[in-house]
Amino acid sequence: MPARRVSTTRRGALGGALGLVLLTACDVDDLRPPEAETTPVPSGTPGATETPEPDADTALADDTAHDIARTLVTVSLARRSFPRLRDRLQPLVRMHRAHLAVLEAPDDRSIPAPEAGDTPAEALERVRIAEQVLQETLAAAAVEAQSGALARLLASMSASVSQHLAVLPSAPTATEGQP
Amino acid sequence: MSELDVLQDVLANEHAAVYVYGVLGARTSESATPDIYAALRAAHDAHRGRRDELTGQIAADGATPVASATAYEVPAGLETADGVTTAGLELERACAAVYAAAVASTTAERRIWAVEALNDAAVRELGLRGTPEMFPGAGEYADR
Repeated sequence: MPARRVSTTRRGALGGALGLVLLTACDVDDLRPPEAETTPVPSGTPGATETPEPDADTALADDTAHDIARTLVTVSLARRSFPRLRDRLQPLVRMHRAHLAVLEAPDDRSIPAPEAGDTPAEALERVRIAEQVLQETLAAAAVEAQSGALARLLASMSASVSQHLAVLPSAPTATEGQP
Repeated sequence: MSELDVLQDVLANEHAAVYVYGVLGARTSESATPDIYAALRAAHDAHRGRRDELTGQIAADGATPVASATAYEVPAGLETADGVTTAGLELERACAAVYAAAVASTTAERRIWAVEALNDAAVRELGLRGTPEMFPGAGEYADR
């Protein structure tokens, strides 16, 4: 069966540019507090530009990108809070950024700042839980997708998260256990 | 291609995987490389299970499940443990690609099955000295 790519008809150069903004916003050194997050403009607000309803797959891709971005924030916060986890969690950052880049989903929704945890072990456990939730979300989204190409992409992303979870340590090493 | 045709393709691939894993296991020393032996054994059992599931699904649809071939082409370079491990890893990656393709061509329960199979195969790669990928079964996205 030939490999197919997800359609990016709605997502042109602008979508890609917004995706880059999202990635920058999720960097470890730029985790904004909740109050600094941009607030989406309600569709009923006077002056808001009327935009057509996105199709189901576009909405699904946008929701999924938001879930990935939220998980990335959790990982980034753990790395920033406990520098000894930086190297260990770097592959997760690379994975999420690669997934976001392919989805090219503009995401201007706010992401509540999570808590890192009081210890590296606690932070690692929060990351693990966040990744498990994301894996299940991606798998469910793959089943929900109308387009076979998007379904395949999301299923592949869920499998990538499964792989990364499988090699994620259950607890920090002795040296990693110190802040 | 109908969903039934897709399942038949996946089943044909499972027949080949079961055969080749059997060969790889036979070329592996349980005492010298217990980890690899265990990984190959687990993979063989997993694909046999997938084969049986597909056979049941296809038969339940009133079709005749595609039969196994008498023999399949076995990869070269199986004289060393590294060669066997590499062959196993490549086989599992190929299976992941087949499952990913099945995800694209199925719906509902069959797609759920394919998504689970893809996730299982991706994790199984790690036991064969694989490392986490960005897009298991859909490697072309990694080049973007």
